[in-house]
Amino acid sequence: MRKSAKDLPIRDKMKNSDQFSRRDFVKLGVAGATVGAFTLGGWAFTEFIVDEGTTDTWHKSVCRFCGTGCGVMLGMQGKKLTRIRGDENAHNKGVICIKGALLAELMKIPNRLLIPKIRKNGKLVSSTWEEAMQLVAEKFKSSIDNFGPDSVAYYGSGQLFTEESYTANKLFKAGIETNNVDSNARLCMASAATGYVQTFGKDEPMGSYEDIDHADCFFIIGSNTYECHPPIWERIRIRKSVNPNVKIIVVDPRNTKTAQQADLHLAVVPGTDLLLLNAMLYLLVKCQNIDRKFIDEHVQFMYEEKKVGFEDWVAFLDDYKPELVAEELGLSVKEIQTAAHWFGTSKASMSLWTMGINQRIQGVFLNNTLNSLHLVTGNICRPGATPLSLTGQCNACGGIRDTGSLSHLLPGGRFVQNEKDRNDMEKLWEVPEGTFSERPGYHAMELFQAMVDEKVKTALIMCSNPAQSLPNLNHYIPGLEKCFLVVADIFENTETANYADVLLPTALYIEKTGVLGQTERRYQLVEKLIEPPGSAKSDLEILVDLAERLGHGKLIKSKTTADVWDEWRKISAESKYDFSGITYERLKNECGIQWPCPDVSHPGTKRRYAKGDPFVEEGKEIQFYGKENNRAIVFLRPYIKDEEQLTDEHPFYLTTGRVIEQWHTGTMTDKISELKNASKRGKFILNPIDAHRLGITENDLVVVTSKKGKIEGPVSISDNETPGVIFASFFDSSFLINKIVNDQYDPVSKEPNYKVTAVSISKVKNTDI
Amino acid sequence: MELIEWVGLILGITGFILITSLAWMIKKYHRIKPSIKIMSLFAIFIAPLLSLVVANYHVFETSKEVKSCMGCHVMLPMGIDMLDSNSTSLAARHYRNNWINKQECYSCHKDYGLNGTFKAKADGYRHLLTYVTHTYKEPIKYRGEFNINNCLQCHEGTSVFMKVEEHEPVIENIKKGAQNVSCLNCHGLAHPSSLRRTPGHPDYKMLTSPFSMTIKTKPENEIRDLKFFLTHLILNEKPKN
Repeated sequence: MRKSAKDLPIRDKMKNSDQFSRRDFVKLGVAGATVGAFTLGGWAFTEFIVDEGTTDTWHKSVCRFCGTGCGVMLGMQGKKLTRIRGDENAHNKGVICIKGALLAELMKIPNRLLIPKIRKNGKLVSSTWEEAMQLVAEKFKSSIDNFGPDSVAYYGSGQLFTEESYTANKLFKAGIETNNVDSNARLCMASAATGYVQTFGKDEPMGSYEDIDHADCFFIIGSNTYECHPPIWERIRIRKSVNPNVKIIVVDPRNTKTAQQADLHLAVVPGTDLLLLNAMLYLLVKCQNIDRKFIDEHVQFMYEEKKVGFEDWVAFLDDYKPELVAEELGLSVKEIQTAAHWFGTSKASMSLWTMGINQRIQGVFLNNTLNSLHLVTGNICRPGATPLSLTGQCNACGGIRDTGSLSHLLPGGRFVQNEKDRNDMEKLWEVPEGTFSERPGYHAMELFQAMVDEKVKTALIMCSNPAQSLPNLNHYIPGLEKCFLVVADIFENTETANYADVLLPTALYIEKTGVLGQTERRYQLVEKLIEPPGSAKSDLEILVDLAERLGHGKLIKSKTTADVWDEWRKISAESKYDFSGITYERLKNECGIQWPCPDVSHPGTKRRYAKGDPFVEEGKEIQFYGKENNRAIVFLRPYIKDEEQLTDEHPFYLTTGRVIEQWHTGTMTDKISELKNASKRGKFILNPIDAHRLGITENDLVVVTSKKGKIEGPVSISDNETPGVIFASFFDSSFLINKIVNDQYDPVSKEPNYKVTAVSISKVKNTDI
Repeated sequence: MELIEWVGLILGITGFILITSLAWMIKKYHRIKPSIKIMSLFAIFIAPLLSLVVANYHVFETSKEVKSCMGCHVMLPMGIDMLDSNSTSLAARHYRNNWINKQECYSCHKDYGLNGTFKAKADGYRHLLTYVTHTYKEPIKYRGEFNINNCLQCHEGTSVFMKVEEHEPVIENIKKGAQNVSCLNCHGLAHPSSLRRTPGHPDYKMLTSPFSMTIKTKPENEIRDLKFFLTHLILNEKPKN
């Protein structure tokens, strides 16, 4: 019979006991520990298998290419740049374009120039830095001694760091005492700079990219923003997608990718758009869409040098009644009225423009009138309302315009022709009174003409490729051959390097440290992350070396980028371009800072001339302090027909520009296979109606002739081109389109008229080949 | 409640009943009767095994849902931004345009194939452990690189994608093996920037508060469901409908 539990021995009782024993506790503990071990072990395993990617470290930087000046994050694997991402905390909010996305490929381009070369018997041969720089210094000295300081020149670039342009400007103007300092920024931003100075008294836009997020009407003129400033276009598009009532007006002779997404595309006849702007002003007045109060408080009217009244301005606009100008514009009256209505009635209108306006015979007038559209409607100095000229290059603003590295300028918005400005800079640079010549030096076109005329004997060209980018190229090439040319570049095979007498290898992008200043007055820092290849040096090192050899070592006392920056920012405190609060330290920690920024605790200035700008007096909402009477100027700017008019001989307009995949003359981007393959080769693009009439089909070889010459090339046919207009990009060194582009320039800004050249086009017959 | 949840619940209750019955019977009879053996088999092996399978499946599936990701407080900015009809982030734009009908987070964050699923689950487990042990720092950051093939698995080959000439260099870069171009380079942020997700930033409060959302487009019940969930999570109370 089975015993009951109470009859069991104690040992067995304990086994069968309901009590929680030590053994049970241990078992439970082990079970718990096992579960925990599996949990933590599993976690450890998942940590172990996480793919951390290829990047060791990330570094904040700025894109190398255009004036959008996108913040980027550079992913380094050891000493190699392997990843690029848009900086999500920068103004571009993580968005960059395809060129910026391939910066890692840029740094891998082979066949970099590694050592200096000297031309001997027509051939570039390897040299040493000592030999090369000794020769350069001798040539400069010889020219200066025999022909005077104006027999030498410096041609710089809006792609050099600010510290480099500043040093070159100081060396040549205060050291060598020549104002023959100019740059490729003359070819892109001079009209915008002059326009701002004339209208507001100071250069540089007053608005910011942030205004895009508040604008209700975008007036985009002379800009293929989609291809030339893609992140800005993306921001406009996003603004519209969030706010479908936003209007986008695009004024462009071509039906570009930008124009295709516009609410209103005004395909004006090339060269006529000043008629449109004045017609819009006429309508704004007639429809009472002007802000009379704003005008009375902040605006004055001028015709050339003469002050005129509001009524004079209104009377001037009578010549631009839409019915009178529509035909010449190639538009309908309704289109002009719609543009004016949208601009005038929107809560905040923003204009954006670039080379289509600047690279024109009347570039300055166009800039003035664009600014006027905003002044008379009060669309300025408040969120979403601003005229914003888009800068072409990554450092045309900070490096060239702000440092005064143009032939008529001195740093901080000063002019060589102004005695007080010269005296101010002489004191700041601690040079004797009378050091600066009062005569402006050669501007870009004059400079290359002076080479042709052998007035300039020796020149230093840095980070630019004028032998491909100058208009009417064939005319200026002989000058490059005659002049003793010192070229500092990263490659040996650029068009300009072909004419170099001395070729100096330079550092590229993150192989050196420096500051870039982009469209919206934002200064950003690029830090050196890798060593330049071979014996390449930074452009600053080259300039410092040259200064020493020319006996100006004491003048160029700042020898490192940090020292130059500190010197320049302290000098800036003596002007309205004050950025003395922007130290390297701050730039390392912040995503760029917009000047004015007068001290290290100042956050920077989003909108100039408005409350918040440190130069706007207390109690004022708006103050155009660049003008003595605090009033911006609305100029009465008459339309003058372009000299390049269509004739029977030249019945087409040629207009040149960029494509999204290529940067400028393609010296960098055309060596990146992804970009080269995507852009294909340089070609003409023609409308199907014109093609059909001329018997031209896709990929035919055509010859395009202007007054300046002719060039052969393949043709592509596209509905996106307007009848009567031919487009070609200038990135391809095997398709030197600038040979036939006319080299007239704006009489005030001296910027060439790239956008309007009268040409003929015909198919190359088999017998011609 | 969904079907799988009902199944799980029934299995769980059944298992519980069986185990308690089993325990009572053993205590009463002090021996294992044949009927108890059968009940034991069911209670100790079959029911728990079934429950485990069902629970596993349930977790595997529900962890793909947006609600699952949003269960962690630190993920709120992503979810709230995604639902915000004014947001311009990629997640918000995809959500607003109904480009991904459900499992919005999982669809983009799971790589291709079984390996992708395993990686996603492993990451999810890692995130869970990191979260419950509070060994994360805000703003949280994506570890490694986002695989752009996840974008391409939907977008590549579509007429819209192929029409964009600027995709040519991207494809070439991928084919070259370089793969250093990301879709996010041109198309912008997928989620709010790390700066905005940092505690103390002016936007942080808005990004962690469901009441800041304005939602359009999605079906009413789905919006209500998600919003309810998020509100309940933060406030630990039912919002008024």
